[in-house]
Amino acid sequence: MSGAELVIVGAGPAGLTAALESAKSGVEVVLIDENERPGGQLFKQIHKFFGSEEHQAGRRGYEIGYELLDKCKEAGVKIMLNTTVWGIFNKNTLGLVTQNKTKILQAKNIILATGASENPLAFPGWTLPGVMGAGAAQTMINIHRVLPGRRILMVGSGNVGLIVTYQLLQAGAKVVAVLEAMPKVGGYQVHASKIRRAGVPILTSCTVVEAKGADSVDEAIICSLDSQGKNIKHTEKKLKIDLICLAVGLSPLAELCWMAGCKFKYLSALGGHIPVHDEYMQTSIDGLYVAGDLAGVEEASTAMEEGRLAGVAVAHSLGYITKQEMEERKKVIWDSLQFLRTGPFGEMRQKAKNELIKKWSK
Amino acid sequence: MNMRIVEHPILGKLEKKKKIKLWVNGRQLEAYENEPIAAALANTGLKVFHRTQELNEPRGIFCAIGRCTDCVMIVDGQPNVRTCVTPAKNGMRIQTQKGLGKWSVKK
Amino acid sequence: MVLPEKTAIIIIGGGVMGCSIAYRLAKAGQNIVLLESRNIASGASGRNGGMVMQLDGRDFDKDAILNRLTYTRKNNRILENLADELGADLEYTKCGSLDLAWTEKELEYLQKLVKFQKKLGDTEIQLLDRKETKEKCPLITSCALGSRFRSSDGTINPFKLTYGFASRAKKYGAKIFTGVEVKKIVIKDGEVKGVETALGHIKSNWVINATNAWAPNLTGEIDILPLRQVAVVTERVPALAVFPFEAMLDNQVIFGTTQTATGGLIVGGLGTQARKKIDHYCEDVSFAEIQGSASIFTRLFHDLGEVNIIRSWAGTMAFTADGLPCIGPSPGIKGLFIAAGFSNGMAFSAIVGKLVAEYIIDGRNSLPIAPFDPKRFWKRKIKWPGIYNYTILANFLGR
Repeated sequence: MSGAELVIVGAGPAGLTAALESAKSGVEVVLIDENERPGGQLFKQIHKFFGSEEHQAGRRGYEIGYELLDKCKEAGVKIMLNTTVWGIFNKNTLGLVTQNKTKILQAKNIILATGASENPLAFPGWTLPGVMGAGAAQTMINIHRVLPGRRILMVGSGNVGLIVTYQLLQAGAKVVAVLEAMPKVGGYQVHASKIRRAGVPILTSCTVVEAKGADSVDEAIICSLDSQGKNIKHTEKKLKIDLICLAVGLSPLAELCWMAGCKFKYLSALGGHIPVHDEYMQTSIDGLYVAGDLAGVEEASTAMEEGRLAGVAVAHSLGYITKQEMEERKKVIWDSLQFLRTGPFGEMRQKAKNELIKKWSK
Repeated sequence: MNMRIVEHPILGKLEKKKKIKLWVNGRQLEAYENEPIAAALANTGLKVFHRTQELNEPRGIFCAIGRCTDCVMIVDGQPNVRTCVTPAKNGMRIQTQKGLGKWSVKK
Repeated sequence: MVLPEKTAIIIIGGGVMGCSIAYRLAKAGQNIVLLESRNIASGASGRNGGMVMQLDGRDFDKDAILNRLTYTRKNNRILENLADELGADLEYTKCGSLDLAWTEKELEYLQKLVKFQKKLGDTEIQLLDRKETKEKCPLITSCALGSRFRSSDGTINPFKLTYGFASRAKKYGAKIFTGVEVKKIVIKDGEVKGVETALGHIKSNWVINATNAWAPNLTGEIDILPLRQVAVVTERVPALAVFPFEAMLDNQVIFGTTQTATGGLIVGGLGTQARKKIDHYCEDVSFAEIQGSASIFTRLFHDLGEVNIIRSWAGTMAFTADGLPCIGPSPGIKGLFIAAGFSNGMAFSAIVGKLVAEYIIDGRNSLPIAPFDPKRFWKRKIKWPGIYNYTILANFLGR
């Protein structure tokens, strides 16, 4: 089969580490991203990461992003930016569009690392300007340096909701409250404590009922939920806000996998319909791999490990490393992933991953 | 109005970047060259980017990464341009898009 | 999911024909079970552009023309009131349709054809010159020299039509099962006994094979040919190409275009050069086909400017050797009814439901179904061209 040795779609954390890992073994890599610059969600992450030292603990997402990028350039990875992959044909051929020109690119191996997109939450008034994803607000403040609002309601207290709340405070906005539909906070306590200390109340068993405003949001109606998750009458409160951020989860951007004909499994712990893959990140289609949020919504640190795993597998598949080397590297990466997937959230995800892999391992 | 974050505890002071001029619904506006059009507009406090075809409802930025098409506007005569992923260039003419916009058919 | 053990009538196929038939029979009080291997409107019914064309093709065949006209006219009369009947907006418009001429030779041909059709009693057909064509549909490229215009053709939303039939059929008591594949029609001693599915047997004395392109898989004796077509659709644009039109480009392939009620422009056709065997049941679209469709699109709508194509798909319709469908009882097998072989389903679906219900319940028809007798293509073993696309097939059929 002809074509590039390895094409990676998506230059976020998973794509970057996949590129680096395979390039350092000698693979010729083409790394594609639809944005002006690579890094995916890393550049929005201005907070310090957790984990051990080797997991970049204490470093900010964007620092990691720049470093990976430099290393990829040094390793000779060919990076194509402002290029959208819009189709996959025959399981090995990609349709690209760049600068309004369509191209086709054949590949011996493909790693899809296209990430995930924010889930919407529908309620009356949700389509008004002034209601946006929490990630969208994060993009506006950390990358574009523009505040999308001054008095903000955050819906959802998972890690994204808590972290973005803190970052909105850092950007100079007031976050009037964080709402959480469940009876307890969704994200890590350390994040929750930080924003509580900063004066932001986290209202559990609470949800947004309506967004009001003429041409944009200027008021939110919230109310309390009972143990069945139903609205409790007469508990409505009005909040004067100009921005509502929705932090209600992410779903993998799996269109290319669907188009290629990959098998999927539905796992809510990982964000929805996940392309089935083995312990080397290979999907049900030979030569097609997935890594990062596409393979299950987790974190940047796990994304980077999965990218490495896919990179190792491809390097072996092309004959650049021996089976032994591959297995050795795989063990190190799996140990790392195990370490990262600790705690109640991590364990849930590891369990879901095991289920996924068990179904497909060769 | 100015929503720009000039000083930031982590990201530091806003870099000095080249400024350009855009025309928005006939009025002149300043922007940084190559920043997304939507960022430049949001900076002025603009909320309504287009209105829907059937019910004329207002729409603005929602996903900010080019997926949802809520931020589309008419740019240099072309409708359906996703302003959150389109870099601003000097002299661009931007208009609020009403519904599906006007598509010019050559005679 | 538990299938019933027996029922009065089994319909195989949840496309527009199967659902139309289910609706009519259920409304008349019959016990119906409809079995669909995928989902409602998964085949051609969910992949066509929604054109309601009374004449399909440019042949000078008097009988074929008269037959098509008679039945599609009756069909359209039903369509006019169908939205109220089904309680659903079907987005049916009777705006007319255009058949474009790109060359002088083609224009002359269409001129003769219009004259011929008028002589046969078709009062709705007209020949338009270049200016008149452009006036009717400003979006058509200036290269079109003229067109054949039929005033009572139009467009419909094929999903709303099919789902409309299915929904009403259910309200009248029809049991519709999706995701159930029929493996075999059980026939013993020349009589239908029922069907075998992956989930069990169902006994019945009536089985209607409404699986169109897949009909020969269950009823091997019937000579119906599957044909694959490809389509692309654009982002929503303002209503500009309200008239559906067909065009034959490079004397090669026929393209149909419509604009949906929400504004997407659909271009369908593209019988690719059949240099190798095409799997006519393959619903994946290749890069070359998308590229080809896009280039055809720019030729048909050259004056439009920039617009994004957002989706592509492929689907399988069905053909018979005389271009007319098979509607009727199968010869020699009691209880097996065929309703398949459609390449112009939207213009037939309403009347087919009526004719099949009449036959099964009353034993006679308001309009004769003799022209559609499956006997004419029963065990004929027609030697179809081994490798074929639309053009090759059209030539083969003598059009």
